[in-house]
Amino acid sequence: MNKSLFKNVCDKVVFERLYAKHSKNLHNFLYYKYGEAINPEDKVQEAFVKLWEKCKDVSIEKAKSFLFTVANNKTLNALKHKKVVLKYNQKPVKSHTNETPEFLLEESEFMQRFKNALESLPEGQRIAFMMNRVEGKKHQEIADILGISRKAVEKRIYTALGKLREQIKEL
Amino acid sequence: MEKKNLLDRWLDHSLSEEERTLLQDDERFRAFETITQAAQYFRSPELDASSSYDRLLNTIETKKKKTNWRKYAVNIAAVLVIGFLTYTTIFSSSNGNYSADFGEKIAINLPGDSQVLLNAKSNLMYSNENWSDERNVAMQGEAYFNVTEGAPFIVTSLFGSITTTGAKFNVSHHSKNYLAVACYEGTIEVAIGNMNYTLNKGEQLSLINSKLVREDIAAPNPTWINNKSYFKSTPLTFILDELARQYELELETESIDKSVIFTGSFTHQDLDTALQSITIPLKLSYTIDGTKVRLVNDDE
Repeated sequence: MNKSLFKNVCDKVVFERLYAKHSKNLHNFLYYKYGEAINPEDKVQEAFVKLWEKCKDVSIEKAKSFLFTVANNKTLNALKHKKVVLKYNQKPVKSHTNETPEFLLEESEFMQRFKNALESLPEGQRIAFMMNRVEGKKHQEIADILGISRKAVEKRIYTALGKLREQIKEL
Repeated sequence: MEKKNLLDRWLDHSLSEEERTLLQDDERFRAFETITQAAQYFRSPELDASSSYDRLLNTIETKKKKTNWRKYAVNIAAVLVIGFLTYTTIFSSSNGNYSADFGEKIAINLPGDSQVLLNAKSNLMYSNENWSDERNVAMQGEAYFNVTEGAPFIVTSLFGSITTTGAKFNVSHHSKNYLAVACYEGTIEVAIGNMNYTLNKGEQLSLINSKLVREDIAAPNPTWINNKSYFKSTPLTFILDELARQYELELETESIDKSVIFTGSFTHQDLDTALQSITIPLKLSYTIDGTKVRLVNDDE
C-alpha cells in the first residue's frame, strides 16, 4: 500500500507531522467544547505525550481519533462538568472613537446576551458553529475533524444559528 | 429553494462575492452575518504550535529515556555548551558584557542556570563576584529574565531596580518616557525612584509619559521572544522606535501624529508585513528607500 506500512507513529517525522496536522484543531475543539476553565493547551500536550508512549500500538490512521479521545477523557477527568465559560476577547482599542456612550452600552448588552446564548448551546453545536463561522472551516473539514457526517455538521450549524438568532432577536 | 441553496453555500464558504450580493436583502442572511461578526470575539486563543511542540519534546524527553534522535541533538548541544563555556571562561573570566545590535536577539546563560534573552539594541552586564550572596545585573533596553530560585537577584537600570529571589519577568526601558515591567512567574519587587511595587505572576506595570498603569496580562511570555512585538494602548512613537530597532531604520515621520494610541503587533521577520500592520489601521502609508522609511498620512 503506501508508506504507512513502513513507518509508525514512533518515527519522529511522522509524529511531528501529526502534531502539525492535529494540534491546532484539537486545541480549538477543546476550547469550544469546554471553554477557558480547562487549559486546552495542556490537554493537547498530555494527549500527544500519551500518543508517544503508545506509539507502537497506535497506527497512523487511528492517531487522530486516539488524540481526540485521550484529550477529551483527560479534560472530563479534570473537570466535573463546570459551566462553560468563553472568554470575551477585547475589541481592538481604537485610536479615537466616534460612537456615543449609548451605542457602546447597547453594544455591550448585545455582546453579553450573545455570550450567554453561545455558552448555553449544546457543545456539539457550538463546536461545529465556531469552527465554521470563526475558524472558517468548510463543512467537510469539520465532519472529518469530528468524525461525523457532513449532513450532521450542516444540521448542527443551522440549529446553532437558529437558536442564536432567537436569543438576540429582541434587541 | 434558490435562496436556501445560496445560504447553504455561503455557510460552506463556497459562495462567490457576486452570488453573495443576491443574498443581501435576505433577512435571515443578515441575521446570520451579525451572528458571525459577534462570534469573532469568542475565537479560541491561538495555539503557538512551535513553542508548544518544543515543550512537548521536553516533556517526552524527561519522561522517557532518551531516544536515539534526541541523543544526537543533546550531544551537539553539549559540545556547543562546552565550547561556549570555554570561550566565556578564557575571554571574559566569567564576567559578562553583552550588546545586541539592531534586529539582534541574544540568549545569555548566567551562572546557576538563570537565563536572559536580550532584545535588539540592548545591553547587559554582570559580574559573578559574590554571586552566591547577591546576583547583580545591569541592563539597558529590553530583556526577558528567567531567574532560578536563590540569592537576591537585582537588575539595575536607569529607572531604578528590580529584585527577586526567582521569577520570570520582562523589562523594557529604552527611553525615560517608556518603562514596562511584566511578571510571568514568581514575584518581583520593582523600585522606581523612591516608590516600590510588587508584581505577581500575570501582572504588568507600565510608566509611559509619566502615567502609571497596572494591569493583568494573559500571555505566558513576552511576544518579542517569538519575533513579534505587541503593544497595548501605547503611543505610536514608542512603537516606531521599536520598529526602527528591529529593522535598523531611519524613520521620517514629520507629517504624522506620533502621539496616537495604538494597540497591535508587528513581526520581526518581514518589514513590509510589519509596516502594514502599523500603517493600515492608522490610515498611513509608507515608502521604503534603503534603510529610510517615510510615513505619511493616507490622504497626502
